Amino acid sequence: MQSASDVISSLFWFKDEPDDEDREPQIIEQFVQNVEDFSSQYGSEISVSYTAFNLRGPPSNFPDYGDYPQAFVMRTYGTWWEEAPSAQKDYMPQNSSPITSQDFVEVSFERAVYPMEVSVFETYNPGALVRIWARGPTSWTLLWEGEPEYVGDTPRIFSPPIRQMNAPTRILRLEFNHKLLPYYTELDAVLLKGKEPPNLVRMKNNFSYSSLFFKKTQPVVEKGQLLNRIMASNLHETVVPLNNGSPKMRHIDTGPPLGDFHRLPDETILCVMKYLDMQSLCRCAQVNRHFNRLASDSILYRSIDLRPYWHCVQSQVLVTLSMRCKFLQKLDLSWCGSHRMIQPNYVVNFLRDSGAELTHLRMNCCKFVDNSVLRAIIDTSTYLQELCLRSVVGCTDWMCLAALKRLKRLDLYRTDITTSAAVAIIRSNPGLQHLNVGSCKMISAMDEVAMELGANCPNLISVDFWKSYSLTPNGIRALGNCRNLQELDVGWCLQAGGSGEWLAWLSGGELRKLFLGALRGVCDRDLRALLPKAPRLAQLDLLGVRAVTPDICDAILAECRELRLLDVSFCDQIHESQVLEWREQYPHVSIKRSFQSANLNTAPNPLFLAPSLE
Amino acid sequence: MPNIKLQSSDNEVFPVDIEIAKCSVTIKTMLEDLGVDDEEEEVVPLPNVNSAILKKVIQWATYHKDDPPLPEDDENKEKRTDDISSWDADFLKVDQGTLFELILAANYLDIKGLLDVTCKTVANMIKGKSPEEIRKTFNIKNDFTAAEEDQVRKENEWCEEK
Repeated sequence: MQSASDVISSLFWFKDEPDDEDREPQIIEQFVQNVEDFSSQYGSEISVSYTAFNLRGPPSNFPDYGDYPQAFVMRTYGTWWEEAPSAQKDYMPQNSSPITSQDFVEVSFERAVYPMEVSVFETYNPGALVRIWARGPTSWTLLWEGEPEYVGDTPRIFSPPIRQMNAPTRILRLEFNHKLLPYYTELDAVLLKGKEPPNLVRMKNNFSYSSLFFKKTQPVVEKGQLLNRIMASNLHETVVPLNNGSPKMRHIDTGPPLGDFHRLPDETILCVMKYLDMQSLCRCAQVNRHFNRLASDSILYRSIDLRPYWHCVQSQVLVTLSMRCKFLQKLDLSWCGSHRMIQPNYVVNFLRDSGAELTHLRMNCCKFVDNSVLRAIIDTSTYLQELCLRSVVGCTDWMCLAALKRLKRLDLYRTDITTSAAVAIIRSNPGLQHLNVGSCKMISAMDEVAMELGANCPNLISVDFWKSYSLTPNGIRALGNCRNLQELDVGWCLQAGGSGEWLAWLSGGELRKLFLGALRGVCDRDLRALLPKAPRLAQLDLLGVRAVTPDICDAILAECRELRLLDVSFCDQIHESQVLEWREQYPHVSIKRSFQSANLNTAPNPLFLAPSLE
Repeated sequence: MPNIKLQSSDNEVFPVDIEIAKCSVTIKTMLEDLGVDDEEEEVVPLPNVNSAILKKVIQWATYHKDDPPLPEDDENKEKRTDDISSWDADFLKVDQGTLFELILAANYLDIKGLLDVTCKTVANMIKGKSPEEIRKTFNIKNDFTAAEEDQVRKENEWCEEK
């Protein structure tokens, strides 16, 4: 049997045809060579299970359908996170396009091609892909855009019709919206089919690179053969018609008599413009002098969200906006600045000019955030209440953020903040209400963080410790002081899962959401102790909590009247028939049960059951 | 319910339930300042609103008389424009002139709900249009010099898809 790497390298193999200067450009098919960036993943930083890394290479599960650790899985699904106490609102809802996205992944391929086809191998809960972008030499091109959908339980290769691009690309960015999906979506691979630029083909001939390929001793798979083989193996191939690809011709209905727009006083025109998204404001600014003055008015730029424009925000945009941002209070630059489209010094200058009144700042997945940007934040934006720096890595001076004193929300998911810096920030922000330190691999003593929270932040509402391997019951015990705690995510905090006795120490009165995924030591008795104290529980994740029995689930379903979500995936002692019964009896609760198609209802995947190997 | 009389700019008089009339902060303040006795049938002159528009405004206010008060906090106000109720959408199927008159009236009478929904309607007429399409839609003259237009385009074309 061929190894995956043999198969994939064979895909790049060129048949050495007789020299023919006029031949057609080569069409090649490539799977992902590298994952460049992503916004979230279910998996951890120290293992490959359920991580974005799994998008590399040819499919490993397809055409199998189900929940497999060899796939890329994102952190959320459905609307559950939007309904949780930690939910975050958009700063500029009028900016949201009809098709919003919640996550992205950026992948690269070995060779640049003019893209002809992008095929996404979806192996669990397909339908979340909403946009495909391709990186050209200096800019991004939108290849496809479409509504999120719910397709049902079927694997598919999704190959939407894509727009022509006049430059070759080797980098794609996919955007996702999984709000319609009943459970996590899983992606297995991405295949890029395209024409090689002619000059590269010539170069190859000139320098006879092709001779390199002769050295291969492996049997050669014809280009496309692998895909054909997969296609042939009894699966669904879904091609969705282009519904948003080309701009519609718009009929301008000037209607019967035009009104006298000039009669409207400026204050009412500003009132109209308050409802406009950033692109419409920029277009209004080009209408005439009067519109230009109004559309540039600082009153319209108190709360701006550039995330939907991540693909086109360059450093210079910050210079232009700075002139309009005299009263800026909320700024979202998340996802912006990839491929050095934004330089740190422009961000620093922007903050110095316009950041003095900022109360809310989001720079999730922003590559430009370095020590100079962190320092500009603390130097100018002293009133910050919310700071979100998800997936920001490469800073060394996290400690400087302890100069902020008014934080209510701090989101540091997947950052490389250290224990001491996290502790120092918490100490200087006693008003903290929401903290996310999930997947922070440099926090080596999460107990210290939890203890500082317990000692210092009585108003804490939500805390996310997802995949914090150093958190133990000692740390969680300290959270008992946080009487207002509504949300606790300790999923995959494996050291905390030795026993679940700490559940009894939680102050459950306000608890709405409790995620205990993979905490194998938690048992019925622990949950029994919590139940009477947590009457308002609405979301409970018991995925992989193998010790729990149907008895305690019966009690939870009967006693927690506000329960809406219960995840009993990979709970060995609970049978599928029991789940079906509950679903009938408690239709208002969404009871989740993950599965794998090949072996439904049999033993869960061994990889999953050995999390200690991570 | 006691009525008051609202008099339009063209001297037509509309008897209106006083509670409905008070959805206009301007009228409410006026009545409070004047210390109007509910028993009296006052005539309130509204010299900035003609009868056709005043009729529409009363129709809107009557339909919305039981609406909960709108939040004062502007920052947290929903800025979406796709949430116009079907009744309001039908109500606002009017020519541009009438729509602008309604905005002026809502602004003058200080009726927040009506001002919001009329402004949203105009915002929807702007969204998705190019600068030239906006000019055509509202019959606006381009008074930029060539150099200015060039400069303005450079500053604002960043969010256009290439």
